Amino acid sequence: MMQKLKEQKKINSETCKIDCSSFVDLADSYTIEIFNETSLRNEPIKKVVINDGTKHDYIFLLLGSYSYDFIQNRKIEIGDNASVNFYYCFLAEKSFTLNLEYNIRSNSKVTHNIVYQTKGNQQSSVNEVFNYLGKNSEGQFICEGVALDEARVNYNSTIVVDKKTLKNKADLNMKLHLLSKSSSGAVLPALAIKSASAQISHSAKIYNFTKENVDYLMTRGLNMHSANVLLKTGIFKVFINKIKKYNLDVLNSFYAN
Amino acid sequence: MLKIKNLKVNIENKEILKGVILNIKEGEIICIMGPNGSGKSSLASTIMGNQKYRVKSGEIIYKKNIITKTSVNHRASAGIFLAHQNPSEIFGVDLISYLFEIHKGYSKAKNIKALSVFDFNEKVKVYMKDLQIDDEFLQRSLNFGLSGGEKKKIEILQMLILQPELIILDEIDSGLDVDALKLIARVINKYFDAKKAILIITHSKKILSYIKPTRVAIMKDGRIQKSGDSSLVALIEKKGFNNE
Amino acid sequence: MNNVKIKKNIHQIDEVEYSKKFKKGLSKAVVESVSADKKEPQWMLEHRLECLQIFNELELPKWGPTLSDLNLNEIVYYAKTSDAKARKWEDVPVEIKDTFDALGILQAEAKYLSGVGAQFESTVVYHKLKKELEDRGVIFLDLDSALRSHEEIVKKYFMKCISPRLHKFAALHGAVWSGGTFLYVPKGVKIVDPLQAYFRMNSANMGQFEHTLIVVEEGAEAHYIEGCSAPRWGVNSLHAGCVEVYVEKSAHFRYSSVENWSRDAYNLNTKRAIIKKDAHMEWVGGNFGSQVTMLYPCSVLVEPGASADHLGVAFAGRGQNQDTGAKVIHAAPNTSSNVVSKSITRNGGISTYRGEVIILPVARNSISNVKCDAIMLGDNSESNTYPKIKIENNTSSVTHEATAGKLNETDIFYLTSRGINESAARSLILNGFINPIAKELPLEYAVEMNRMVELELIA
Repeated sequence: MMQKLKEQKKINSETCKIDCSSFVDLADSYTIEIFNETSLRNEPIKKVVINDGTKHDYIFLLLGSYSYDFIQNRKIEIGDNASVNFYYCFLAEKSFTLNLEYNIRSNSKVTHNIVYQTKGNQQSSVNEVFNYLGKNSEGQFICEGVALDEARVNYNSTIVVDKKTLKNKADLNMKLHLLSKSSSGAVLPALAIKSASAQISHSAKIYNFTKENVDYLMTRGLNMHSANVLLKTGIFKVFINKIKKYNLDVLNSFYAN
Repeated sequence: MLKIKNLKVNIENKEILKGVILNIKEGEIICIMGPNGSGKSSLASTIMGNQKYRVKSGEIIYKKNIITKTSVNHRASAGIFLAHQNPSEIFGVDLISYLFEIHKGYSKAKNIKALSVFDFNEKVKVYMKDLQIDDEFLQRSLNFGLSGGEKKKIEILQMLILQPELIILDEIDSGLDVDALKLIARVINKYFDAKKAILIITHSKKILSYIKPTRVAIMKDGRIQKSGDSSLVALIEKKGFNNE
Repeated sequence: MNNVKIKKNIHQIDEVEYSKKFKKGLSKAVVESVSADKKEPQWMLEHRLECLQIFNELELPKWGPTLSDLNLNEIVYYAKTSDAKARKWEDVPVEIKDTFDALGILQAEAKYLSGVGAQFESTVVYHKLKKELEDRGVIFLDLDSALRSHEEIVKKYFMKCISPRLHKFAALHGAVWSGGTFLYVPKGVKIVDPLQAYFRMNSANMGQFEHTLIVVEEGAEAHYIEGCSAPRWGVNSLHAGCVEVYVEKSAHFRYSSVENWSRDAYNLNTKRAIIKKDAHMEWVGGNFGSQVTMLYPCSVLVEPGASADHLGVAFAGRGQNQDTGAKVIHAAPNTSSNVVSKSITRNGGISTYRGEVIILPVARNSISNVKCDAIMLGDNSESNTYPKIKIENNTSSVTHEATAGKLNETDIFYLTSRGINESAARSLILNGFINPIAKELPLEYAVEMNRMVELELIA
C-alpha cells in the first residue's frame, strides 16, 4: 500500500531517468522504483536511457503482495562514457518475470545486481540480454536467488558481442539456491561472441547452500532450518548493503522475512 | 652495457616515460626507486621490448647496438633478462618441458650444443634445490597455482638457465618473506660477476639489505629525478619520495 | 585450398561409373538392396524400414548450424564393398596425400586410412592382438560380420541406446547404416592397450554411416579409439554415424576419437552411452575437419554411482562451423559428471558449445561440473556457448563456467621475454590450452593433434 517515492512521480511513460542533487558517492543521479501494490499490471516495455557521461544508480524493488503475476520489461540504452549500477530485488508473493535488454555503447561501466526469492508454486523467470555495441566497455552482472516450496526458476541470459566491437569485457555470475525438495530450476547462461578482442567469462551455480557453510553454522548451535534462513538472509543483506546509502525504510522490512 | 637516451614512451596514448636517461655499466648494480605510478615497471617492460609500450622518441642501446625496435625474443637471446612483477600462468605447459625449450633456444642463440634431456634435468634439480623449490612443481603447469613468492623463485630459476648479462628485477621482493628474500638474493649475488649488470626496480628498501646497489636513482613522474650512491636510500627512508 | 576443385575432378572420373552402380537419394528400394546385399536377418531389414519411415516423418533440427546446403537427395547412401575397394592410391586427392606427408604418416598406413589398401590386415602385430583378444573372449570385429556370427548379442543391444526417434539423422542412420565396429568385452576382462579402429578386419568402408556398438560387461575395462587424425575423404559429404556404448556395473570404458573429415563434409554423428551402477564412462574427442559438425556425446547415468567425463577440443577454421558439446542426464542418485570443452576458432570459423545437463528429481546427491573455454584468433571468429541446465533435485549441484577471448598479450610477452619467438609462443599457449585433452589420447594422436594445431596456424 506504500506510495512510490516522490521521485517516481516525475517519471513519464517512456523514459525513466531522474536527476537528483548529488547525494551519493559515485552516482550523480539515481532512480528508485518500489512496487508493492496489489493492482499492478503487466507494463509495456519501458525504455530506460542512460545518457553519455552519466553516473547513475538504478534501484528497483518488488516487495509484498500483489494479485497479478508481475512482468517487468525494460529496454536499457546505455550511452558512451557512462557508469551505471542497476539493483533489482524481487521478493514476490506471486510469480514474476523480468525481461531486460541492455544495449551498451562505448567506454562505459555497467554493473547489475539481482536478488530474488520465489516460493509457493510460483514460476518466475529472469531473461536478460546484454548487447555490446561499442568498444572498451565493461560489465559485471550478478544474479542470485532462492527458490522455496515448489517454486521453479527459469533463468536465461545472453551476452552478445557484436562483430564490429572492440575490447569489451564482461563477467556474469549466476547462483540459484534450491532450498526445498520440490524446488527446481532451468538455466541457460549463453554467450554469443563475434569479436575476438572481447574478454568474456561467466559462471552459473545451482545448489543448495554448500554443506560446509551449513555444517559450520550448525557447529555454532543453529539447526539446519535456522542455518538455511541465515544463509538466505545473508544474500539479501549483501544486496541491501550495496544500496544502504539510500536509506530506504522499506528495506527494514526485509529483516522480518 | 645499457644506454637509454631521452626515452619517451606512451601506453594507450598516455605518456608514461617522459625522457628517461640511464646508463648501466658492466659490474654495476643499479636500483631505481620511486612511488607507485612513477613509471619504474614501465621502464623495465620497455627495455625488454613489450609492444604495449610505444617508444615515441629516444633510443635504447645495448652493448653498442640500437635495440629500440628489436623484437622481445631477440633481446632475450642477446642477454637481457626480466624477472616479471606478475609472471604469467600458462596452463597446460608443464614447467620442465618449458625450461627445456628455453634452454634449447638459449643454446641455439649462443651456437652451442644443448644439453641432453637427462643432463638438463639433473642441472635443473640442482637449481631447484638451491632455490628450495619442490621438485613436484616441475610437472605442474607453468606458474599455475603458485604463490607470489614461489613465482619469483621460478623467475630466478629461469635466469639461471638463460645465463643473461643484464638482469632486470621488477619488484622481486613483493610477496616474499624474509627467508625467501635472503635465499633469492644469495642466488643472485652468487650469479653476479663483473661482466654482468643488475637493474633492481623497487619501491621498498627491503631487498637492498641483501643485494647492495652501487648506485641508486629515484624515478618520479616518468623521469629519473635524482641519482647517487646507496646513502640516498637512507634519505628516502626519512623523507619519502615527495620531498625532492 | 583447392579442395573443391580436386573433388570435382574425382567426381568427373567416377561420375559415369557411379551413376551406373550407385543410386542417389533414399527410398525403400535402396534400403532393401542394402539389406539384401549384406544378407541380413529379417529383423534387421524390418528395423531399417521402420527407421526409413521415421526418417520421413521427422523434420530437420530447427537449431544449430544451417543444413540448407545439404541435399539429401543427392547423397549416395550405399556403395557395394567390392566397388569401394576399387579405389586406387592415385585417385586420392593430392591435398590429402600432402597432409599425410606433413603429419608423417607412412605411405602404407596412409593407403589404408584412405580406404585403399588392405596390407594392414596381414601385419604380424594385428594377428598377435587378434589372438590375445580371442583367448579372453573379447569380440572385436566389423558389425556386418558380427551381425552374422553373434546375432543374439547384437540384436539385444542394437539401437536400443540410440533410438531412431532421437532425431532425423539417427533415423537415417538406422535405415542405411553399413559397416562399423562391434566390441564386446566380457565380464571382468580388463584390456590395457587401446583398441584401434583399423585393427579390425575390414578395410572396405566409406565410413559415412558406420555403426559402432560397444558392450562392456560388469567389471570390465577397455579403451577404444576411433577415427584418425589424418583427413578422411569420403565419396559423400554426409557422415551420419552412430556410436552406442553400454557400460555395465562397475565397468570402465573410454572412447576416444579424433575426427578430421574433409572440409566439405557434414559430420552429424550421434554418440551415446548408458552407464550402470558405479560404472564410469569417458569421452575424449578432438574435432578438426568438416564443414559442419553437430556432435553432442551423451551420457545417461541410470544407476547410482554412475559417472561420466567428457573431454573435447574443437578447432574451427575458415568456413567451418563446429557445433559440439556434451549432454549428461543424471537419472539416479549419487551420480557425477565432468565436462571440459575447449575450442579454438580461427579467422572466419564458428565454434559453438551446446551442452545440456539434466538432473532429474530422482538424482539425489549428484554433482555436475562443466568448464568451457574458447580462444578466438583473428577478426572474423565467432564463439558461442549455450549451456542448458535443468535441475530438479535440491540436494544436487551443477556448476558451469566459461570463458571466451583471445590469446593474452601479456602471456605472449612473458614467453617472448624468454627468447621464444612470437609464433612459437602462440602455439605453445594453444597447445597448452588443449593439453588436458591431448594428454588423454595415446601419444601418436596427441602429437598429431599438436601438429595439426600448428599446421592450421600456418595455413
